[in-house]
Amino acid sequence: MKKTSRKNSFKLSLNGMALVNSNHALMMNRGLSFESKDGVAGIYQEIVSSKSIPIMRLDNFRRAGEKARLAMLGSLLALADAGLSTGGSTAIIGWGGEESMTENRAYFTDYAVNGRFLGRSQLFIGTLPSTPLCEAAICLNLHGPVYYFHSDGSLNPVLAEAESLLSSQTAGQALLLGLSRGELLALLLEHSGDVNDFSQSMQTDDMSGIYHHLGEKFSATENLNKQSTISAGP
Amino acid sequence: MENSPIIVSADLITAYGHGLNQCWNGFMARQRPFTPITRFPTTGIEGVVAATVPDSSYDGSLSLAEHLLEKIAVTTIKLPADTELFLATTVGEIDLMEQEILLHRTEKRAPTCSSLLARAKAIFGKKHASLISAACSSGNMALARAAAKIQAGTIEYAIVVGCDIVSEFVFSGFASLGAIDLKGTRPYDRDRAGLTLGEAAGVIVLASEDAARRDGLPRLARLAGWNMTCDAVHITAPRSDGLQLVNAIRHVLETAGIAPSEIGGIIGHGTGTIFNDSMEINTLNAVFNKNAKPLFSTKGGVGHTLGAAGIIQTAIAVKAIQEMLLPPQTGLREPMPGAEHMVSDQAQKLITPKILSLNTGFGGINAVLLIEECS
Repeated sequence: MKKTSRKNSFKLSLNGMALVNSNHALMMNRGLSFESKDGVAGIYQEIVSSKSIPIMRLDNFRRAGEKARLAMLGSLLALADAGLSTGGSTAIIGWGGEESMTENRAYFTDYAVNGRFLGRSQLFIGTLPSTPLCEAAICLNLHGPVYYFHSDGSLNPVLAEAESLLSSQTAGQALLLGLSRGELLALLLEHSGDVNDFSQSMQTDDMSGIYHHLGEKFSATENLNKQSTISAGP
Repeated sequence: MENSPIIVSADLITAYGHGLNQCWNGFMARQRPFTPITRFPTTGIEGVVAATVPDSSYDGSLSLAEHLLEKIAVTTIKLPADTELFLATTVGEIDLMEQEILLHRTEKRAPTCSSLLARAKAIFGKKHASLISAACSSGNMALARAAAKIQAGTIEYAIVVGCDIVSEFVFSGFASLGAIDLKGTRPYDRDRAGLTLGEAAGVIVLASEDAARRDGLPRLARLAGWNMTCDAVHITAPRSDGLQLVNAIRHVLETAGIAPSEIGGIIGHGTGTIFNDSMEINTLNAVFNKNAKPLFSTKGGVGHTLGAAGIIQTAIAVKAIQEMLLPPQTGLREPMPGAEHMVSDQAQKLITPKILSLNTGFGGINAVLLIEECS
């Protein structure tokens, strides 16, 4: 029997990549960096103001929670990094190991301290690991499979999962949305005829580390090293 | 579909008890094993029912989901240690988090879906395991991903486990959305008023055709097709015309090389909520036009078991193909408009031994399976 997920090389090409946290957003191919002290919404406004990339309207981020906001903005930037504004049948696979633990605790604590009488639906909606992924799908009108995936905590099984999904032609491309410690890493992947070396058993909780590791491997080097920063000023 | 996997084992623990036959017999008798919730307070909606597993052996020392997995593992067929395990769940060990907050107790492990995955790996004795969480489509999604890996020749066997429990967390959340029918769900009924929560553990074992024959395992049915889509419309409501579910069904039929007329029956998602059931009936009418198919929802009997729903549906599809029957619709009084020629309070003959099983979930996640008789 063949073994799965115990390899570093995959028949995948990395077409776009973005890293977003509450202070900044980075795009691999475009070499762009956006900064703001006003969180994800502030970064979004910087992107809109800069007119450096075509970007769709995100009205108040659909009033979604922080993880969903990161997922929406990261997906949008990863697609833009690949020169796309929408992705049709693109699949979305969530990963990172945190799931929705913070949101679960927030919902149930709120419910408990208010007398275990009525839960707040707006908090409950965010309590599925798949919620941020679906918010991104809605935002970008993506109709492929959407699910949260976790295996042994390293990136390789996630890449193997994407490779398997794409090689079966279930979707044309896949957005991998990794969330950990307030950072979202979005990878836009496509099935490739060539085998590409991606990683060395990277753990999934270091999104910045993975971004820089993959950026060095896959970006035009001059772009990654010369990221032009667009920020809110002094 | 070429090299599609074989279902070699199916087992369930539901509100009907332990075993696929127990569950099937409950459906055939139109039993509604719903009981008032006593596990936690339901302030403001006292007397509301759920489909909990009758189990006097549970002492609370483990999470309830871990306990259910331990019980079902006892009756699961033995497989090689390198068999890949797929776990479908939406909230995992959520009862541990409830205790942490309500009793100010510190848990040894962070109670998540992944923590249940770790427990499942140990319980079933497997080295490789994956969590698939796709809201209420988790079960079908996990089966589809496992099937695709067998079809591609990446693995020979897959043990696909679905498990979720009736928790105060989920109950209070669905109640806050106005999605609970206080008196018990009535899928596809004109007067349906919401869902009833259920809990379950289910196991489907898939094998490649070669492995099933080589190892002399029963070839119960074939998982002959699958597809997944996302409505991408609303975070809780489905797209009312079911367009993306229609697309998923049509893709399954096309890749399996069969016409809509060859489908023998449908096990729908059928939660009993106004919006889900309406969307599903619109979908089925769009795909099958005037050639209505027999339709059945498991949720009228076992409740909405979330991540286990797709596993239960596949197990019931196996039994339905053996019996060439779909059970009578539990809870049905009068079919909703558009479903008059689909659902019945009587058992319905399968037209052919080919069943579509539908899952739809929050965020508009759709997952469709085709289960058929082994030739």
